[in-house]
Amino acid sequence: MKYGMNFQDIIAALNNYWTKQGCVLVQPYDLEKGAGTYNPETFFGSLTQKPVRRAYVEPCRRPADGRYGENPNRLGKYYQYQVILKPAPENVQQVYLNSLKAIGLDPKEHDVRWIEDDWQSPTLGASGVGWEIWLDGMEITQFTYFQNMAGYSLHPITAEITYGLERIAMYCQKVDNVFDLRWNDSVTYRDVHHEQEKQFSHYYFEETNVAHLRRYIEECEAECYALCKKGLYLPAYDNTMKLSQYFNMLEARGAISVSDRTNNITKIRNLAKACAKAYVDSVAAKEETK
Amino acid sequence: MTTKNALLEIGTEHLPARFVNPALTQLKTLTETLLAEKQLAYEQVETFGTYRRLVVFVRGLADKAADIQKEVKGPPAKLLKDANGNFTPQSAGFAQKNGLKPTQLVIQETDKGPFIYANLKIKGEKTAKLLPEIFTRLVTGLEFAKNMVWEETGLRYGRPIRSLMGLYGDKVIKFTVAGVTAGRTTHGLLSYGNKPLKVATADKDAYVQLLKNQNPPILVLPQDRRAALIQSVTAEAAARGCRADLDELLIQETVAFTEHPVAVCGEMDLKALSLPRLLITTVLKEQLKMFPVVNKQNELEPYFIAVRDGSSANQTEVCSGFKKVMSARLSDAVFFFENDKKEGLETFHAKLKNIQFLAGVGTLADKALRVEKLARLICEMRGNTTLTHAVSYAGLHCYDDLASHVVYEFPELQGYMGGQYAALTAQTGDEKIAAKAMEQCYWPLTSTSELPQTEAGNIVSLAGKLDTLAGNFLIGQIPTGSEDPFALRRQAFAVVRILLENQWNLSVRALLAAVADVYNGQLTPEIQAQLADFLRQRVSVVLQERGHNPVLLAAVSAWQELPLTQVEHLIGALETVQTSPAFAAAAESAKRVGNILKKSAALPSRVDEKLLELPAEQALYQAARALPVCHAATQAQYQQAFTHLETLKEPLARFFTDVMVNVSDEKLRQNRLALLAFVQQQLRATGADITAL
Repeated sequence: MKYGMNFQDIIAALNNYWTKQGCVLVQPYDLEKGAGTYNPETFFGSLTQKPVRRAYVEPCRRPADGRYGENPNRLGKYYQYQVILKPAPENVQQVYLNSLKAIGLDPKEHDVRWIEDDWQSPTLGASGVGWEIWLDGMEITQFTYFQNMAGYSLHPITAEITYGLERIAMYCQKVDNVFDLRWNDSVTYRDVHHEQEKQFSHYYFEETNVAHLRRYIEECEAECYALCKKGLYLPAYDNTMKLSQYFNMLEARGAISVSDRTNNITKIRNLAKACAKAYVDSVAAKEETK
Repeated sequence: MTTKNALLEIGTEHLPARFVNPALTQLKTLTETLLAEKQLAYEQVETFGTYRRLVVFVRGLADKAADIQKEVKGPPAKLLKDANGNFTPQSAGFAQKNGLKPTQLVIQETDKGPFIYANLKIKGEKTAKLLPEIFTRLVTGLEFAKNMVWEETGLRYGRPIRSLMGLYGDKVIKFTVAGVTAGRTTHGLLSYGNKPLKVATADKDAYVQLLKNQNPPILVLPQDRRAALIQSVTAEAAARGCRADLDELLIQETVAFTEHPVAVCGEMDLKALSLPRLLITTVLKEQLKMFPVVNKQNELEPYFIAVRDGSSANQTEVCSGFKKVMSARLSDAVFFFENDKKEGLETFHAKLKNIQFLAGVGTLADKALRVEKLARLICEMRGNTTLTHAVSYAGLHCYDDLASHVVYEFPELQGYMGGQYAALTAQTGDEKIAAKAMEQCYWPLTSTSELPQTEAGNIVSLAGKLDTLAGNFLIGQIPTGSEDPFALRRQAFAVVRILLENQWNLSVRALLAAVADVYNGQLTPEIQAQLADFLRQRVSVVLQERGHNPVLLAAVSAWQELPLTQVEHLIGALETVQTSPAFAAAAESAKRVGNILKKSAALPSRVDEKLLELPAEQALYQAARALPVCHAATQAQYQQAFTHLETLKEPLARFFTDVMVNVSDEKLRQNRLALLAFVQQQLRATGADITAL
């Protein structure tokens, strides 16, 4: 028996639902990143004073989490569905619950529990207050009211909703192995992604060139600061994202010591702060010239 | 006086469970304070609610504030009228300022002569007018453990406020906080559409009933939810011929994160039951918020009981969801446990040398060696050398589990898991004793929880804690004020409890010497003194908790040299005799002795009886000699000894009247000082210095 919606239909349903909520549907950002929050839409979107409504699928890369496609629950690359709402509507919790209905999960038929979980990202210098949302005991969503980003106290406040797409789909389709998910009626998640998992696990754990990665990190850092100075915060931020990915790759390779780790996290946070400052300064400059 | 009821509901997004009870307690106090401030009479304030609604109900709230009489002092009485009998500009002005006619002014006597007074009667304001401010301050006055902002006014709160309901009788009390304006609407369960519900009047029973009548019902009174939860969980277990492990903390947490608790029972994979019990119950309770199920013999049965919020619709699918999550968590636990068993304690032990204990105090491997030695020394001091092998093994291996997979995943199981792994391979009696001691080497876990159940367990726990304290003090990590990031006070507290509650015949001085020994002389006398002082503060707290007056500890000058049990006996005895006037008089005289001695440098150590010329000297000497010697005694014996000190009262008084100490004859003077020194020694013979009272 076929349970639940196909993977691509869940995405389509969420796109459809959030379009109706007035979100701008953007496409994934074309750089590797560890989480949807890294997307410039979220990073700069949380810093702006203007209203923002965005929804997008975001592929996330976690080099250290790859398992050569052999673990039924672990992936080195997976998908988040990310929604950014600023300001959050008063009934934002209800709006979220209705999105579950849209993908075939009626909250009346399940136990939906909002467990205190205050998200933070040491690399972005960001933190928020919110919940992880459990569906019948399983975490399916992270819901956060951002309070700080790159060291800035935020105002107005952005709400971020992050769905774990594979988990939700596994629950809906009642499968125990992520690779058994139906992507559509004839193609599985295995067909689409298994080879990628295998090869990238091999690459991240065994083939990455540590010396190159360390050099890239230095180059990205220098380039980011240079671009910030010219007010080009968008390409500067691209370099922050790249550096962060190289750092994750080094870590997966086991090439990072404890103190090295702390240093690199501080390095990334400082870059994020520099980009945020360049952005805020440029907005302030534009305001003045008006 | 007319009264009506008032009802306030703060509707929020999901408050963390841990915020709910503190908020309700604060709300009650805050309401009572504000009503008193506004001079509003009421019968009773109640607060109750859930993670989504914090409710205040005021029964019998007066419809206006009490009238206030106010006396306003004006100019001196002579300025009331002028020579012609007309009101002066001063008095007329004063009357006008206070809204009175000059004829209404009165003269009142004061310390500084007669003055003009305006006696004002201020009418109490209407409650309906005061409530908007009161309700606003109630809502905004709450403090949460952690706050957030979410809207334009920037209010900091536990979670966003999404609705407010304020009623006085059947009237809405209008006020606005964080952009939300109060009305008469509450809401149904969020997952069931957040249906708006009109509340007609500020009536607790009607409000509670309205919410209960929803489908599914909302049990807004915590006691109702608690009853429903226990009933529902118990019934699920009973249906399987079992009983639920109704953990009190989990019950409280569940009551706080549900509006209508419904139990869901499912089966557990039998393989998981091979895990140590505490590992299973930790996964169920801590990670999944589920209740374990036990049989009549209190053994775990292969079931779990989860609690969902709302209805029991679609129960089978919900149950299979919970089961899936639980199975995944338990199979992780099985995986970690099996791996740990394969590796074994020796493998973990080898890893301890890579784990830092404290910067500057070495690795966990170093700590283990110290604790092994210290435990052995304590064993010897206890005169219980039959345990030496067991405590040495336990001391050396009690931190091994910190390198295990299970403890990495479940840090709260430290100690317990080590004990389990040791028990798995234990062959000899000593090894079994050691395993039990390792299991409980962190006990007591809280200030009120149980001490280790065995002698070996107490020794290892004591050794571990003393080592931690000494290590931190060695590198200057000494708690100050409210700062105690390493919870050293708790460790010291446990040390004192182990010594006192076990009635161990060990002094703090002897223990510190042993600790200094294992630290190879690094603990300077200065650090030892700091540590002793730190322990002394905990002794004081523990004594107080055991019903003593901790101030008396100051009188037990020898507290470090005496076993703490003796210190407690001495204090108990002092508490009793302190009230006797004869004793107080003796203590006063004893202070004089001390004062005289303080001024003299070197004292001859012996009294020469032949030089005791005066009868008063001889009498004092005899009385002091007659005092019974009292060491390591019971409280009753100490009490007797203190009572005996009263016999010195007369001779001392006579001595101070009849005898001059500072005479020119050096020999005589020295002998008199020696006599007083002897008296003082006798006064302090118990270890307590009554002059310090």
